[in-house]
Amino acid sequence: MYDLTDITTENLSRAATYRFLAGVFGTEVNATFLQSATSGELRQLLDDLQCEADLKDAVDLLKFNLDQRSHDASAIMDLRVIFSSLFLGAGGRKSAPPYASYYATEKTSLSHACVAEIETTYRKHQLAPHQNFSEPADHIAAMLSFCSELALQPTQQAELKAFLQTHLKTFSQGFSEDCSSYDKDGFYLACANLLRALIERDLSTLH
Amino acid sequence: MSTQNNTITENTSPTKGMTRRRFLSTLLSTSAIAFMGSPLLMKVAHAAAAGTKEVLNGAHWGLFRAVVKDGRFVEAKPFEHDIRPTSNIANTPELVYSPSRIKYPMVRRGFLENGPQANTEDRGKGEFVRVTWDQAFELVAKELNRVRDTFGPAAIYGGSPGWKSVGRFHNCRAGLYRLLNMNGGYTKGVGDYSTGAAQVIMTHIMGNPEVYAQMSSYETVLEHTDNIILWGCNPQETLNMGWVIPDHKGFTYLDQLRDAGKNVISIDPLMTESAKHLNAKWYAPRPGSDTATMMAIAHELIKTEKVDEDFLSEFTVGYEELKAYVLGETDGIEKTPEWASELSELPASDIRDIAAQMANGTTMIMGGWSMQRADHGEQPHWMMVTLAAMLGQIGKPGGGFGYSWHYECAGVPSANNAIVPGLSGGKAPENMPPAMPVARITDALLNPGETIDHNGRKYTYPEFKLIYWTGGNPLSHQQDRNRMLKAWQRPETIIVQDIFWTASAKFADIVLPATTAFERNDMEMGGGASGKYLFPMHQVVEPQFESKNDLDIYQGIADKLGFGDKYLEGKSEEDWLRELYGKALAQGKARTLKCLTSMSSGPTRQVMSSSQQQMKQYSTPVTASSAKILSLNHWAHHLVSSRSTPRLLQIWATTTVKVTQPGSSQLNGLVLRKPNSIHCTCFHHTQLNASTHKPTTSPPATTTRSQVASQFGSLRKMHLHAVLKPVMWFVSSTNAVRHSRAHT
Repeated sequence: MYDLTDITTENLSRAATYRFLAGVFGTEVNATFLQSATSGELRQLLDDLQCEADLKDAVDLLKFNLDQRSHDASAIMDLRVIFSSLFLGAGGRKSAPPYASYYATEKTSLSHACVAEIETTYRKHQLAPHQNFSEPADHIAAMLSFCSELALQPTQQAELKAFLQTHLKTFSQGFSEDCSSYDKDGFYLACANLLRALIERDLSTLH
Repeated sequence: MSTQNNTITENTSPTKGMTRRRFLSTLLSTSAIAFMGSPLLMKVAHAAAAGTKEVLNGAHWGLFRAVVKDGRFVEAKPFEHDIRPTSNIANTPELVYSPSRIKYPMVRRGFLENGPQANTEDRGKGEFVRVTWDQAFELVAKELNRVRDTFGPAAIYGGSPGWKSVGRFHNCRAGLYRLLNMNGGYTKGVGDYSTGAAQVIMTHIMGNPEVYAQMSSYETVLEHTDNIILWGCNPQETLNMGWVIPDHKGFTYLDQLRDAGKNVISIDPLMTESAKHLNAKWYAPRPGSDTATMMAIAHELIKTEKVDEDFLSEFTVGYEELKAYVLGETDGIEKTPEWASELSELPASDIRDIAAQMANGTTMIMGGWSMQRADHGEQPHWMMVTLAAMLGQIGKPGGGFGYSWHYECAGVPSANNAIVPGLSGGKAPENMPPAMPVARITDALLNPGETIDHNGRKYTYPEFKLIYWTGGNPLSHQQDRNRMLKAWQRPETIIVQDIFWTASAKFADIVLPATTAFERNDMEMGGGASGKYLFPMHQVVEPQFESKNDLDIYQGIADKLGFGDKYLEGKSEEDWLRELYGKALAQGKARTLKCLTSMSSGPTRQVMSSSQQQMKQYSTPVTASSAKILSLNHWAHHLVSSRSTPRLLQIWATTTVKVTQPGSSQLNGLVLRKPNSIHCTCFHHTQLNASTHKPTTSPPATTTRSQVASQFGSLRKMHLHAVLKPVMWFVSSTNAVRHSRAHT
């Protein structure tokens, strides 16, 4: 746990947003999430982000999607199905594999040199994908968790920007395009749009 | 974050009474964000990257050194002594990291919410949800028990005919059979998709299936054969792959055949790589007209008096009936080259030319399998045997026919190697249901209770309620896809265990992710039909995502079913590998073979030196073939001595080699009067007399036919006609006069 007293409010917001998106893309949402995202703390986070001009459109779309959504078991199951289809391979070619390698290899492989580069970067910060997270280092959720970690370290802003530039910028474009093409529901498309807007904003504001 | 572009302040932040900073700090530092699940990154001690290493592994397309960099399989380099490695090897890492991998246990939504048989028409729509392994094991075990108890074991189809990843131990098929046997039985498939027709008919015609047999030695062909007929046979391409790990030695012999200037004919709709490589004369018949073409060749042989009547009289039955049919005496249609020309689109002159070449010298007919994958597919292979018999060359050096020249490098001389046994499929229960012909799965699903003819017997389709499929993709290899999809909606439960999201996996209810062969330790025989090597298969990388080894999946289900202690007998992967390897060692010891290395320790110079001396001693007096094998053993030697990971398995190689050579083997399928002087199209491993190199199991030349038949058990006179009543010659769909079906 970091001492947050020295962290700027902007970086706290940045870290929370990356962690929020890491959670969205890392595992299936549940009822607790939906409740929080519509009327709890996550809704407050979204409301807060909505005040930023660079993120407003993306947050508007996400909030709209959330507000249309039922919270019953069937609706939760709908999202689990979409998650499996988009991110776990069940959708076949009509999916959005959440791996940097996938987009770096023109959608042919989950193994690209970037995986080793990302692992090396994690290792430099004494981090590695959690043993309970059965995904490679270039999974978007792992990368966003890493961005959240860097955002909470005042001396790592340049590294965060470099990481975004190197590993997330191009990836997020292809990823959000695939979400746009294959997410029939719109929730993950909205989240991917927010991710893309967030990356673009941070690349323009981080030094 | 730009404050110039927005209006966020502590006062305007919508954080409901809490300052923005405090809200964000709370969100990040408390468990309020716990809905996001487990932490995705964890602190680790500072450690250097794992570095680079190479490990040996293999596949159906060859042995390779896997380059592992920082824990990832980044390159597969062909084993340096593979004489013609395939380009497939370079793509091997992509199997591990394919976007199509099944990553987690998945269950179809409708099944999960409403149970078996729910919304089976929704299969294939992609509506899956992830479940834990424990949930998956529970679901599968519950279904296996429910269906067995409610409908009986026949309602469970254990579908895995055909291929699997290489590996003696990690056998997904045997593992499934073992599980289902222990659970009270199931309906198993019989036959396979590759040679479903040929393996049945050949057993009746020749006494064995022929299609997976070792072929006559290439040495014999090189020495004695004048004409090679490639009939739908393309070894220059198909020898790239093998059922076990190939050494590609067959390509050396194909080069030698080319260089020897043999007369090669390719009868194939396509100009194949083999035809190009062997400078063959190419005849391109219309697909499906093979039997008609062969029959016209038979007609030409009869008319030009090139038929070996003595051979036919001595070794076959049914020729007179066949001859009458070919000459049109039974149906009024003479099977002339002109008649066949209309069907095959080959000029009649070409058919006559083929017949003339076949009758000019010693002819080896090399038949492929594709032409028998059709309705009445038994006919072309049956007719091909007939042609070889009419030429009178079956059993002569370099003559006759063979149906595996394109497979497993058959024809490369065999070694007398020890064989590592595989995992047993277990003992079938007493009430084991009869097996079903594999290609009848669609018919069975759509017509439960219907009785069909198969291989001379009656078989009644059970009503399948549960299908558990692994090691194959029936929605790809089963004919008539749309009908198959309709049938696939019938079972109440479909379980598919696979590495990839195949079409069959997408149309399943429960999908279980299996590892590739490169994520586990194993071993496999190498060299195809020659059986020269045992290759180690060291684990290259850890299991990806949440995939599990097939056997571990079955073990998890067996635990739920209550016989987990019996399934893998409480033994680990290494325990099993040591045990199986030990059995091979015992075989070798019993047969006085020498092992180059031991399992638990690295190769010692002393052992190697001793083995090499013995190899030289043994190989000196035999034939040129033994020299070839010596060189291959040298390969094995090198493989051991240059291996990079001194653990688990080493290489086993023979020091004593038995070579299939003229006069050295028994002839399966024909009744022989003088087996010691006759050469066969299908040599099998037999004991050679140490001094004469003659088979010790051969009967004396004066043995009567009945005595020979008794001694060889399954041997019988070759049937050329109507052995499987009422099967008759089939010509084509428009010209068949009398035919019925041999169900396969």
